[in-house]
Order: sequence, then C-alpha cells, then structure tokens
Amino acid sequence: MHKTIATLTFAALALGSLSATADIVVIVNPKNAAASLTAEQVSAIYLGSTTTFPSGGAATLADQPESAGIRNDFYQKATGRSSAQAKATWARITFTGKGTPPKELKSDADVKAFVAGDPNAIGYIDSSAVDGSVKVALKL
Amino acid sequence: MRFRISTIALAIAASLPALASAVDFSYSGFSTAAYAQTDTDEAQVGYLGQEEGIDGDGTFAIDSKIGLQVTAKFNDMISATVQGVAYADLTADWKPHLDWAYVRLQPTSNFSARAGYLRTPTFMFSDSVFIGYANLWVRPPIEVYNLAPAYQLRGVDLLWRTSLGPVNVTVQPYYGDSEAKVGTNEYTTEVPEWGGIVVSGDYGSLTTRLGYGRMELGTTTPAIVPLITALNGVPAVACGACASEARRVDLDGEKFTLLDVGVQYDDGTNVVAGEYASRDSEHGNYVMPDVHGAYLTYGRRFGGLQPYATYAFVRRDGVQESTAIPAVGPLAALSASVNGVIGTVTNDQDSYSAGVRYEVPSFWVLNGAVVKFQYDHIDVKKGDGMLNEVQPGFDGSLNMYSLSFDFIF
Repeated sequence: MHKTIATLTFAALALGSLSATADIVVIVNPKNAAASLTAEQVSAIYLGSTTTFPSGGAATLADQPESAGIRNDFYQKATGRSSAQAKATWARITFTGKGTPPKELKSDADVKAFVAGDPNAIGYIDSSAVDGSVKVALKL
Repeated sequence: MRFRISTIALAIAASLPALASAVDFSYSGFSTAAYAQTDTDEAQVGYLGQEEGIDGDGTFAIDSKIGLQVTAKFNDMISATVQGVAYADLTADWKPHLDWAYVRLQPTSNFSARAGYLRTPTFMFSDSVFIGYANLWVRPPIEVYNLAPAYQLRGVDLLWRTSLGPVNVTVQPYYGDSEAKVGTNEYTTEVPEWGGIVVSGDYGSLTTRLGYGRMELGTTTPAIVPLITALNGVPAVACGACASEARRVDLDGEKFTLLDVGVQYDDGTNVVAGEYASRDSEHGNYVMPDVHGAYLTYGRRFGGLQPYATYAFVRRDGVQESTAIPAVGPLAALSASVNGVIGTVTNDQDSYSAGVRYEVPSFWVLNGAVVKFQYDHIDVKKGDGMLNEVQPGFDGSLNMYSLSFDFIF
C-alpha cells in the first residue's frame, strides 16, 4: 500500500515536472514597448479582436504548425479556445476582409527568428528555446 | 492608335513579372455541401434571392456553395481582394457570383477603408453567412436574416478599431448603393441609396454590437404595377385613401430602417448568441411590412462536438388588414387586391432548432472541416409566416432536417 502511494506520488511528480518543461512563453521583439502582456491582451490579439499591442503599435502574429502540440496548448491556455476554434474565428476574419491570420512557421527556432527580426512581431515558443534575441512578454 | 495600344500591352506584359514579384498574392477558399428536406410539399423554406426553396423533395441547392478568395497585397498599405462564390441563384442554376471585390487602404494598423463590392454588416453574421465553417448553425435563423432585402453594397466602408479600457471597440460605417435580385420571377430591385453604421465591443468572452442601416428602394414589384395604376386611376373624390394605399403597396421610393442589437458570449465551452432586429418603413409599406425578429442560441462544446439549440421568432408590426378602402361597394375589388398583398407577405412565425456541429480532423488540402446536422420545427402563427409557395390546406407547421459538410482550404 505504501509502495503504491509512493509510486503514485512519483508519477504525479514526474507529470508535474513534464508540464513544467512544457511551459509556453509569449515572445515579442526586444524593441517592443510592452514590458509584459496579460493573457487577456494576448487572447485579444490571437483571436483578432485587436490588431495592435496595448501601446498602439501594430502586431504581426506568428503561429506554430498545426501538427505541433504547442499550438493547441497555447490557444487553450491563452484564449481558452482550442486551435480549431481559433481557426474558425480567423476564417470569419479572413473571408470578411478584416484581417490576415497569423503566419504559420515551422518550429520554435523559426518563430524566434521571425520575432527577433520584426519589431512588430509576436509569437509563442517553448520556454526552453528562449534566448536574448527575443523578450518574454507572458509565461503561460 | 493600334500601334500605341500594342505598345502599352507590351509594356504591361513586360512589367508583369516585376509586378508579380512585388505583389504578395494569397489564395484561400471555403465550401459547403448541404442537403435539406422538410416533411411537406405544401410550403417552402427559402431565402430572398433564390428560386428554389426547401420542401419535401429535399435539395442540395439552397445552402451548398463554393467560394474562392484571392488577395493581392501591394504593400503594407494597399491590397485588393476578390471573392467569387458559386451557388444556385434565382435562375436555379449554379453560377459564380462576385461576392466581394474591393481595394483596401490601411494607413494605420487600426484604421482601414475599402471601396468596391462589399457585404454589409447589417446583422451580426451578415458578412460571413456563407462561411459555414465559421458558423455554428447550418444556416442563420431566417427570422432575422431574411429581414434585409439586399446584402451586397457597391460603395465604401471604414473600419476603425480603438479601445476603451479593456473593451476593444470596432466602428464600421458604410455607404453606397445596391441592386438586389428578388422574387420567384427574377427581377432587379434597385437600391439607390444605402448607408449604415455598426459599433461593436469585445470584452473578454463577450461581444456586443449595435447596427443601424437605412436604405431606399427604387423599383416597384412588377406584379403590383397594375394594382398601383388602378389605385391611382380612381379620382380622390371617389376614394380618399386610394393614393396613400398606392404609396403603401409600392416599394419604389420606400425607405427602410434596419436596427440590430446582437450579443455573443463564448468562453470556449459555452456559446450564447442572441440578436434582435427590426425593419421599419417610412410609409408603413404593405409589400415589405414593418417587422421585428429575434433569436437566442445556446451551444456547448465537448471537445470537437458541439450541440446547440435555437429559438427564433418574427412578428409583423404592420397592419394585418387594411380598411382604408371600403370592402363593399364599387371599390370592393381594389380593397380585396390590397388585402391580398398584405395577406401573403412576411408574417408571424416561430422556429425551434436543435443541432450538432462536429470538427473533423484536418486532412488532404482541407485546412479545417466540420459536419453539422440540424433539425428545425417551424410554426406559422399568422398568414404564411416566412414560408414561400404556401398551398391551400397547409396546416401551418413543418419539420426540416439539414446535413452539411463545411470546409476551408
């Protein structure tokens, strides 16, 4: 019995550490005026209800590939919606000519390079991939 | 002259590769394949602008469509978009229609202006009713969405976004003219003037909007021309009300106001959408009577599965009968004709719907796909409700089943 509890505890710890390594961070260009963003602000940007950062600057959005697990985790945590729900929202925006959906890139490295290279850019990557080329605006 | 034209053509041809490399083209599309059937042949459910309706024979023609959008982005400020949609129209044939075609100027990230052919945001989902993939229902409740006689504007609109504290606000005024093909005998209704404004606010999961539109129609319904001629032919001394009755059966010169209040709540799991709309005419028109309609939808997500239910109604505010011309005596036939018009147009109706929307995993070139099934029960409360082709003996209620497959690519 004790052994079972110990095993369960270990399993729970292991799960906990797994999700800890899968932390997602929202990144912006180091030149971005925002020191940080709230989940509500990130949600509004990624669901297309605003096209700008709170500071007023234009936002250029990067997305991860649909096949990557991080994409659905990001939308779930930041917006409370699945990536499929977000896609339906962007379909409405696209076909009514009110905006352009986030640019789909291939990997954490590509998103990081995209954000590092564009002062207006915003993206999300695994926290382990962060370096000095980008600024973390929100930890999810 | 001929030489000059060919020189110009050559110059254009020569510059095309350079132009194409400077222009960023993007393509995307959407499609719906939908089948619908009711349990009666004594009435039809349909839209303004389509010849066929849904009845007991079943049809793919009403809701099925395919759309393709091409956007050419010249630089950060200027782009041009064309969206063609093929669907079955008043000729009952599948035909491509230019649904959107505009040039968009975006001087700042929160302000843009468009000019060309646009869909107006008359109701909450008016500009995106064709995007089945983005919508919860198989089709939006006709008790609200059939109140506008035209949907496509030839003109300009502005889109201005701002924020009031935590509320993201969008202001969208529009102005222009239009023409709408209506009626089962295809004819064109001119809309010489049409303008409006929509203000919406997003706050977290909640979106609220207020829409106001005003349009003038410029065409008399062809079938009613003889009645108008007859009414205007009676001397005022013999019929004091004939001239005003002629005015009220005429759509030409009639001005309509469309008011819309919409609320949408979506927290990721629960979805609530509700809308109230009213249509009012300057002269109390008999052909397009004053009406108000509303609906309330609730849906809940269980992963990719989303059941939903809707209640909708429409009520006529205009008269049910006109006694302006005496129903007995020498003018009895005119009175009967006027009341004949009043009797067959939009009237009170309730509908109850239940459905399910299921997200299909992406496959092949399909970027996203959903399957929907919807059941509707329609109860006509007065006259023919909103149904078309109502036959004598129809008992006033029908059941309708719809199945759709919607995708984007």
